This record gives sequence, C-alpha cells and structure tokens, in this order.
Amino acid sequence: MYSVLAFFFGAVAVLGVIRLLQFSKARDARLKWHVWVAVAAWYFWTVAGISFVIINVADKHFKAAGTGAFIFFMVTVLAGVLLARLTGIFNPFKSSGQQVDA
Amino acid sequence: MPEERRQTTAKLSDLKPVPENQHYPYVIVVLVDQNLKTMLGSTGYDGISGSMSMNSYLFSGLIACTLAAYIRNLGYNARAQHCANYQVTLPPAIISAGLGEMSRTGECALHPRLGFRHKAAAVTTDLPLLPDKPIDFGVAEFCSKCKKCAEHCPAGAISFDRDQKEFNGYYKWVNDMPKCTVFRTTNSEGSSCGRCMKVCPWNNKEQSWVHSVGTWAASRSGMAAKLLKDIDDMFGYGTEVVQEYRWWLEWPELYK
Repeated sequence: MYSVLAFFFGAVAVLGVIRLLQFSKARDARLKWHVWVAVAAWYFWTVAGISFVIINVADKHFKAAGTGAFIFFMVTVLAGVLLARLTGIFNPFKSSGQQVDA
Repeated sequence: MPEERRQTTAKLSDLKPVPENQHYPYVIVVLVDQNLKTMLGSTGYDGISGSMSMNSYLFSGLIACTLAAYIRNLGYNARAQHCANYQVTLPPAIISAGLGEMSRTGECALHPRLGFRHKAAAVTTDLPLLPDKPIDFGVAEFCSKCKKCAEHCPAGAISFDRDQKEFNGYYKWVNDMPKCTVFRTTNSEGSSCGRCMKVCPWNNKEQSWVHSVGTWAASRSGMAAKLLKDIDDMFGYGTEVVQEYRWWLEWPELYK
C-alpha cells in the first residue's frame, strides 16, 4: 500500500510542478526560487501529515492520528492559503479587468 | 513408571554438572522481543505482564540452549545462560556485545530499535570469536531528559536524577530495587509489572519514519529528547491501551 501511495504522491508532485509552470508562463512572470522552495516544503509537510495519519490509524494509535491530523491539517491550510497568495494563484483583491466608465 | 521413562530419569541423574562459566572468555547475547501489540493492549502491570516476560524468557532460553548445544557439538565448551539459570549478569553482557546502552531504569539495556522491550539470554563459551564493541547511540543524553518511565512507575522506584551516579563501580541511574520488587510481587491489579517498558518513547510504537525521526533527533540533543517526550505525551503514545490488541482474559480475583 505504501508503494502505491508513494507513487501517487510522486505523480501529484509532477503534475503540480507542470501546472505551476503553465500558470507562471500564462502570466508571463517566472516564480522566484524561494517560492519553489516554499511550495516544495508545503508539499512535503502535507504528504508527511497524510503519511503520519495513515501510519497511526493502521497501527491503531487513534489519539495520535486525531491530534496529528488536526495539527498537520491546520498548518497545511494556513500555509496553503499563504502560498497561493504568494504565487498569485489565489488573489481575492484582483480586479475583474473591466473598467466602469463614469 | 514405564521402563523407558525410568531409564531416561536414570540417565539424566548420571549427567555431570555443566561446567562453571567463569573461565569462558566469550559471551553471545540473544534478545527476544516481548511483542509490541500485546504491550500496546496492556497497561503494563495487568494480567499479561508477567506472561509477556516469561514468554520471551522461554524463547530466549530456547535459542541459548540450542546455540550452546551446537557449539558443544563443534567441540568447544558452552553454557546457556537463561532465565532462572543465569551465572552472568546480563546487562553488562548486552552492553559489551553492542546490543544496547543502559537506560534510566538502571537494570535494562536499551536496544536501538527494540528499546528495552526484550528479554535476554546468553551463551558463554570458549569458542574463538571476534567480539563486538559497545555502542553509543545517545541513550544517556535521551534518558537524562525524558524521565517518562520515572513519572509513570507505579511503585515510584525509578530515579528522577538528571545524571547517572557511581554504584558498585559503575555509572548508572540507581533505581529503588526493593520498591520495584515489592510492587511486582504484591501487584493487586495483575501479574508483575512492565510499565516502564510500556511508556518508554523508544519502544512504545511501531517502526516508521515518524519514530525514526523522533529517536534520531532525541539521541543527538537533550532539547530534542525533551521535545520528543512532550510530543509523545501529546499524541498519547505509551499511556494508551489499545483494546483491539487485548487477546487475553483478565482475572482480577486472582491478584487480590
């Protein structure tokens, strides 16, 4: 099972990199190296969290699995929103591009 | 008594005593796991505790006796050292064989992967061997900060001292052996006790990257050791009782 999961997370990582490259190309703005490092760290943290929960559920450490899921999930969501803002994927203040004439 | 049985008894009584081991220069040490799942299902001092120990003693004794017989068949002297038939003190032998370091409990050597969730047996022999060497993987640093076994010892027998002390010429954490023995022999909630083994962060969970990262960091820095202990507490490792793993029936009336 762990081999399948490793393959799955590897595939998701490759797809994520391709998608980010396409995104930055479309915006004509290359992502800086530290943004790539931050994205890699975020992905590593997320996979580590999922792995932690799976291992603990499999071994019946339910308190550890629950506590771990809470901590990893919170950090993943918060850091994910921050990263999405940093990369420009998520921008709630972006204008629609249409100008309103007075 | 049947004839063949009488003959066997007679033959056994004719056997010469196994020679004393003092002059054998080598010792081969065997460790047998006490079974993680059973330990996870136990409180550490309930009805299964004594059986867990004795089961591992049985298998370590079996291995030691088989190995000793094999070495004797090669033409060398060998004596199995196992539970209720020891002529050597095992922890120094375990440490010398490079199978562990002395832990805070003061009498259990902690193995890098098994922790002290094991029972040991040995074979003393004059078979020429290439000896291993003691290993140092940071247990002294780890145990000096963690103290989880001392906090959870139901008898209060394990020392809270930060540093090891000299005792009979050896540096170790000195536990209160009478307190430990009295609790184990008068335990009204079960048979014997292994609570220190149950809660130790080094052996209270399965091998995984989570565990490896924790013990790796904790064995290198006192601060990381304290952090590992706190994380261990937060996640409930060591103190949990996994009901799915309780395969035995408790018999509380037996222990009163």
